[in-house]
Amino acid sequence: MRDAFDTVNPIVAFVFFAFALIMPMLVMHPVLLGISLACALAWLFILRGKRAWGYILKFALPVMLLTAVMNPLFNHAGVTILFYLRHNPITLESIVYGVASAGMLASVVLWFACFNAIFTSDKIVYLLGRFAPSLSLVLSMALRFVPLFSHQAKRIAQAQRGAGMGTRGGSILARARNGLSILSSLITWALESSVTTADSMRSRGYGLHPRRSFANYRFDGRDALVGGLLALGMLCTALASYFKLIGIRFFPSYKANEATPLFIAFCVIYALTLLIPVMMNSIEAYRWHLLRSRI
Amino acid sequence: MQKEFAEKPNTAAARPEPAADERVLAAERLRARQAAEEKKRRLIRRIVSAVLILVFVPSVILVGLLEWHDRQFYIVSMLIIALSMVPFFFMFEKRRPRARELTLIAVMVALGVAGRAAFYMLPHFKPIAAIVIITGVSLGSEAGFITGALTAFVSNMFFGQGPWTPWQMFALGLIGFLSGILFNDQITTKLKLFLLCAYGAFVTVGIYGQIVDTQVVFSSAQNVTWEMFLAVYASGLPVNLVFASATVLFLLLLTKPLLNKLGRIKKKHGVFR
Repeated sequence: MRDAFDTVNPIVAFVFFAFALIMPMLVMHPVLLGISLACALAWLFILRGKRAWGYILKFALPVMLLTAVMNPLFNHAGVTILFYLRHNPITLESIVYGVASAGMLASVVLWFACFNAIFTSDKIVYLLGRFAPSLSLVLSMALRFVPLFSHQAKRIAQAQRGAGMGTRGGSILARARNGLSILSSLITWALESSVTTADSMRSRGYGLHPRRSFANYRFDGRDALVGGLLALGMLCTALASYFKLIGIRFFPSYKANEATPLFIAFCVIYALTLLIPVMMNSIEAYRWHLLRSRI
Repeated sequence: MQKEFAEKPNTAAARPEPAADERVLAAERLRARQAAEEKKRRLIRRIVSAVLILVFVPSVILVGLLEWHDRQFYIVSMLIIALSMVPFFFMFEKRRPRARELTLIAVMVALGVAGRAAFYMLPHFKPIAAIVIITGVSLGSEAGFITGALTAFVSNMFFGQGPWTPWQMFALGLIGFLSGILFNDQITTKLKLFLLCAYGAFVTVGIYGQIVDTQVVFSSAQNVTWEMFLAVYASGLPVNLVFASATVLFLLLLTKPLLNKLGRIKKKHGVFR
């Protein structure tokens, strides 16, 4: 099934991801990091199902472990010395900081996993096409060339095999030589056909119009709603950081804000903002459920 | 330049019809002047881009380090890296490259990406850097930068984007840019090929490896210490050495044929000259 957030206008989606990715890096408050991590995980499980475990085990966990271990070993700042390891003080603050930065990295990695699922190449080309038309054209052409080249490589290999110069038989050296000759003719073909493509583009009037993209996203009422909620969340974040609600200090001694009612209110707002995609999915699922139950 | 274009037909029309050979001479003179102007503009562009990379980028990094030396290392360093790529992309857009140049760059990017995918069973043993270096050597420093940066970006679209993307883009772009400045496409002697291979080994360990490893350091530390850098660089060295040996091997194999093919395309179709 298509994710509910997938159909949102790419500009709104991009702002959402920018917010979700930059916040953990800017404010390494443990509570906010936990919220960010939980929201990213919830969405990732909706997006990928069981395959989300692969992301967690392969990308997030190693990064977390590395950071959490490395920081206390190399960072000796902080006033609360727990013990000495080969004359180097291991401090409570650096351990806390290591854990916090591990959480930060994990949430960034998981948000990027969601980003990869949502931001397909056509959206990137759509976003870039406005202010970098040439680059986005190169991007979309390169993306198309990759499968084209592998297809052409197969065709060349088949032809070579028909001529008795395949990569299946013969000594290793002969096979390598035949493989290289396949690569060589592939490259020549690719370069020549690129010029043909360019001529064809030119004769169809490339460069006369401003760039337009294949996918045309409208900015509809739902985009406005999502964008408005997002803007509200970002405004609250800016206000919270202006009034020093979410400040945190690790060195020389750890100091975070106490759980004042205002801080808790901000946490709720932050969580709701990051949960926009998850909420959209559940609304969609609920609507589907209603439709089905009516039949 | 623009002004001359506009004025030339007017003056020609105002004068009485000149003799045929005179017109041919005038056309030739115009063409020669245009060629000279083009050459001058290319030189200026080269100087500007060299100034950008050698002065602008380090000064941005320096300001970033001095201004935010104890806060938000990670995000600031990432922003610096991303911003330092903007001038290159901007200049590339600004000169409105021809369709042939765009498709040629796209082919080189696709070759790099396909090369990374083709060697998926050998971790870190990739021809990416070699292809970017050859592109820079043959098509010039600007195309080298664009190819390097976009190869990193596009291949991450297949293998997963992450906080490392801007760093890889910048590092590969820099490799392509420098190879375009340091070498021309006349790699004819064994000595020149050896120099190119040495350059390839040096930049993959010294530039690509260091930049990407620096990202690891910044990602995990608030108080960055020298021991931390050393530890990360030391632990990244084996990976970088594998990548460097792959680069040298692919440079040895690919430089001559690829330069030949690219040179032929350049000559035949009049691009990137």
